Amino acid sequence: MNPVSFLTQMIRIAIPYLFAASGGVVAERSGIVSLTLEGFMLTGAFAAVVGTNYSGNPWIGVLSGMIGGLIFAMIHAVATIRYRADQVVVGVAINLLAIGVTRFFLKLFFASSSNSPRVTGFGGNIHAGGFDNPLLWLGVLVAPVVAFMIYKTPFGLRVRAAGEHPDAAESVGVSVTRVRYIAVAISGVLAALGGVYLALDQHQFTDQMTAGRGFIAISAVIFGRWDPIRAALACLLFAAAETFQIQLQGSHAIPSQFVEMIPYLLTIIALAGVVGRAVPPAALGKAEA
Amino acid sequence: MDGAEITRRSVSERHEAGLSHIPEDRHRRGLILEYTVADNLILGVQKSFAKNGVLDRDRIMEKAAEEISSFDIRPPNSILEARALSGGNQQKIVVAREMGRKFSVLLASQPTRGVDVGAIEFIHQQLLDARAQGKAILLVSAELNEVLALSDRIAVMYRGKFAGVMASPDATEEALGELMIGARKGNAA
Amino acid sequence: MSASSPPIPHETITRAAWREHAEEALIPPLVALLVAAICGDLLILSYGQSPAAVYRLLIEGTWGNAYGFGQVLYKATTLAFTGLAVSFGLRAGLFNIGGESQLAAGGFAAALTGLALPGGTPLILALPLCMIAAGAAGGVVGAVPAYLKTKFGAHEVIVTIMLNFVVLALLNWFIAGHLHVPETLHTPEIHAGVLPRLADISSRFHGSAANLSLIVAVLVAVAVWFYLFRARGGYELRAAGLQPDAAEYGGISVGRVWMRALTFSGVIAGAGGINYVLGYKHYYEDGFASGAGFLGIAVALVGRNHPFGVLVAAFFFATLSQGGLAIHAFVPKQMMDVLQGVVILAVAMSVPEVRRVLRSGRRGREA
Repeated sequence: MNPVSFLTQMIRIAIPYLFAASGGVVAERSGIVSLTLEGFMLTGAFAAVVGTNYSGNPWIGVLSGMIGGLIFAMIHAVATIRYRADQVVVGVAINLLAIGVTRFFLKLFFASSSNSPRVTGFGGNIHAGGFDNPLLWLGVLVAPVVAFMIYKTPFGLRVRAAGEHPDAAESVGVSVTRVRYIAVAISGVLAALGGVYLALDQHQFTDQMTAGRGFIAISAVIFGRWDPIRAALACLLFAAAETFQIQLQGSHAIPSQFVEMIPYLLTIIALAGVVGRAVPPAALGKAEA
Repeated sequence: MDGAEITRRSVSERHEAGLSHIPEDRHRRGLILEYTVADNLILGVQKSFAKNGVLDRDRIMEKAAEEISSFDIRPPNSILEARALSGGNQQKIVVAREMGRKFSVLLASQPTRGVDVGAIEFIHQQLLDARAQGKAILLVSAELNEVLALSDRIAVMYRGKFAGVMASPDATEEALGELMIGARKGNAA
Repeated sequence: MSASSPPIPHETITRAAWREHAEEALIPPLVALLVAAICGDLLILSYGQSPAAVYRLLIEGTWGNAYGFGQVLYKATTLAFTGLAVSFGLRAGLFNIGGESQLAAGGFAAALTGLALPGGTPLILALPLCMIAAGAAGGVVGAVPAYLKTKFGAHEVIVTIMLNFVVLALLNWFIAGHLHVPETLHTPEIHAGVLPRLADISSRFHGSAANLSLIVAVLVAVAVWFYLFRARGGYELRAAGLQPDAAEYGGISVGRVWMRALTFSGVIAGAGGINYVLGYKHYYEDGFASGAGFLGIAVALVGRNHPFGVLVAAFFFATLSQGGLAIHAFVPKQMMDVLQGVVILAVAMSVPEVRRVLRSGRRGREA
């Protein structure tokens, strides 16, 4: 197992997590629970394949993936912000809806219950190790960009205010509603990009292909204590564990099931405050403002 | 209380020791708005209305009817949700519950806030009756008139400490006012 | 409530109170049903089929024949258990998303017990033993988030979601590594604890998986109802869920309520494992619980967290699920997956909205 191949594989595995976790940080910081990342990712993956399939151009796929994520994000936003529906329930509903909708249209467009036709993706040069894929570079950059936005821009300040003290923010003229809508939209687009990367990398869509990656992304958000850079590091950590397990597959050193558990166990431990308290934004989940 | 240290006791132990409390925020701490009047009236003493873990609904209804009539809670229907009653009547539920049990010390915090005039008079009378029976009442209120009308002794707090305690006849509005703004240092007894 | 207006008769107030309660409880699921029906129409039309024909086929395939009805009952049984589990937690203000892992753990324990007991053990002994094992396993899984919440304030939503993955991976490791029948991912058949199928009682149900766990599910629902609404413990549990501050002031230890509620929620979900393991396949199979946890949330929500509402909602969702298979020739069964999500979303959105509209309407009338 050589370090270069380990690192390149680790980064490739981390990209979907990086996209989704960065989006999750934005939405959760604004006060909206983001259990929906899994659903957004799946939608993005499917929409990307549909777009690429019918246009032959993967960039159209990227665009359609982003639109797919945006549509689902808007459903999430309207339900939780305008209708004040319970954010956890809506999260579960969105994830189920994403599975259902992708399955339904998979059948309708491609007459299959399990997978779409193959589509072109990016890159393809075996010697480039995946680094000729522009989406990969986007994924590497997304966390620092989101960090910059959250901490250094006026919008980011409004997002943080909406998540910590929505009442105070309203009283100084910040439209908490508008900020949250935009934050959720961002989370939808970014998480969908994670799915886009996944689908185009595998050159097809398969039923439920995200396989829990959206939940690993949420784990990264929590483990990273709602900070974009720390969440990104958590993503790399989880991806490293996965890479370890893949590269060690033959040797049965640690059963794969235990490696699978690592992100989830770490999150539980983080929540129990063993590795420093994971304190969420004060207004997270309470859409009374 | 009665020589026993109750600082670290649980709420139910304090109740048993004879301490009752009318909390300041009846919606958050005083009542469960979605519960019926009857269910709210047994909050804190539900154990004594249960036999083998099962609630005795007949006894609860009886007790509720009693308290509704003694404390003039309107509308006099024990199965209404507390949410449906006016502020004054909601407060009367809390008062009925806290003063309806056996107690020797009552902490009444803003007991007539947001309450209509008829209910205010009623609650004041309840407090005076309790005093006549020898109960100790600590009334916390932001209404100067209420404090002056009811109290035997008045303590003023300034910046977290007692600024002065005086007997009611000595407590003029000016004297109290000066203590309230910290202009005069009285004796904190 | 001015003193000058004539007193309103007792019965009128009581009736009005009941009506308000019923409205707030029942309107959201009906709204959701309407929205789902409309979405269903759209999906069916997009396949070039006639909604009326498809709905008729749906009813025929589910309630119109004994086999279909049996399948609906079978699926409803599992959903009843997970739905009761979720609603029990929600009554205490807690969200148990761990239904799938608790159900799986329960089924696993039931299978192990069934294997450990000698063949020929009478059902009267085997069933309670298997159920206790199943409930205990679910309870252990449920106790983890309970403890973490009570001791550390860890939010149970995330803990239960995470724990799902951990427990399911652990169970998968047990099966794949040690306990499976070769070429499969299930345990050997149990020796004892087999529950009779409905088909054993009436041959009309031949082929369907419905079994006597159905009765157990109903009994559990009744037990939950009794506990919540007639027992002191249930009074305290609901109080802690509705208004924890007032409950504390009333002497109720909210922390202990949480501990009991989440653990027991796990017990109920775990007990549901008997449906598949004792009543249907007679072994534990990896993945049998798939989706039951999330659907349990839907069932609890549509059933408005009331044990009997949960039974009705479980029946409804089971009908959708079985119905998908019945109409598969005309419209892909995937349509039902979409409708499931739509129903949950619609109920979640209409509960606060209906409450808001009804209460402002009432306040307007009283003014």
